Amino acid sequence: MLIGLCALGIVLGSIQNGARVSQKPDHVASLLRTLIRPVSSPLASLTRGTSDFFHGILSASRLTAENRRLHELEAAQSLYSTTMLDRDDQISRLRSMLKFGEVPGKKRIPASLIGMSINENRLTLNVGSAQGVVLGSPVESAQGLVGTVEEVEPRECQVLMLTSAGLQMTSRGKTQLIGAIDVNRTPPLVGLVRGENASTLSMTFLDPKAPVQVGDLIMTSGYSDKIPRGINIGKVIQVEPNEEFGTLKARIDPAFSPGNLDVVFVLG
Amino acid sequence: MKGPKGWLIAILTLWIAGGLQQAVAFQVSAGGVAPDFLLVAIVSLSLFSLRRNGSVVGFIGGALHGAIAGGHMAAYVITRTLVGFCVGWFTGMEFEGNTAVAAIVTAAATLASQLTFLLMNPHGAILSALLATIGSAVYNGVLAIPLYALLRKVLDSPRR
Repeated sequence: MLIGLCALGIVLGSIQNGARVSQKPDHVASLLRTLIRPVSSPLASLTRGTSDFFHGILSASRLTAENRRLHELEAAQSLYSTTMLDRDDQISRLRSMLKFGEVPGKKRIPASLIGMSINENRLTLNVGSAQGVVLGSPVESAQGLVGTVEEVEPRECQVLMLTSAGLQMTSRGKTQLIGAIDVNRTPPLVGLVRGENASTLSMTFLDPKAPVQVGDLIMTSGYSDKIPRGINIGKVIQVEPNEEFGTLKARIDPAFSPGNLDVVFVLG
Repeated sequence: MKGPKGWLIAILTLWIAGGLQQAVAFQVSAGGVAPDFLLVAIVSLSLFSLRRNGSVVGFIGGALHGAIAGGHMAAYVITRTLVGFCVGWFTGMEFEGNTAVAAIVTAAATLASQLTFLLMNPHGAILSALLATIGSAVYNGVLAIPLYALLRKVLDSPRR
């Protein structure tokens, strides 16, 4: 019996060797492995689960600390991503500002925003009369016209934003409206822009039958010694004809956004 | 180990031991020494068998181990068959089996089978293989205690 089983073992070994030499599957070993598989797979899962369980208990404090550290890293990563996006946006805006062309008779004075009063619709810039800023100078950002200089000090100036509700751009005590044109029409449609509320401008067209349409691009007209032609103001979002009074108004979505203002140009 | 019930339990034990050998042995290794669940099963089952049945149990266990390990099938089969035969022979002598005997016999059988296996399948790192064999013998001896105790409840002594 013993010799027979040992001989059978040698035969199995020969079959295995033959299969390996001829690079064919060893059917006997394969069958035995297949028989074992139904029990080995659940056992492997069970062992792994048990091992993880005890490892979790034994390393609870370390895992908690590691979990906390990973949460902090995730928060830092999230903050970093947000900061990176903000920086990318800022770089993009600065690059577009670098491409601004020359304005005849004007000098672009780069300025940084050092203060903002939302309620008053005012910005404070770090340039003043010492740098050539004068009252009424237009201020533009990468997106478009921001407003005009309202007060000037030697090293600072205050800018009244376009969106200043109700009034309008005042300069040296006088009410000042911005001359604007609808550049999507030929010839360009002319009108005057004033702030309506914190997020909308209003443009009154000189021609009450002007064919203005939603989406039209509005730019400065240049009919002023202070504000040159061609600075982006915004886009028409609503047309409001009033036949009774013979007027035509349009609501404008301003191009600039106060949240994106950091570096601007003052056209002194 | 007698009758269909005994063989059913033997096959079941070897089957589970094979699964443990394939899936668990490497995960529960201690100090580089992994248990040999199949050898523990062979020895424990052979302690309830005489020479003939012990040889068959050893043969089946060796074939399973050879297939799982992908090693030299003949070496596994012959060493395990010899272990089963020897333990069955030992069982046939007049002695009172208990868990301590099971542990010692398993450890001794591990040493014998591994040394035989090394002789049949020699490789370079003899010293480390010997140390691993000793460690494995101790590990298997410990594992044999609960298995033998369990089998004693369900299997009859071959001399009864």
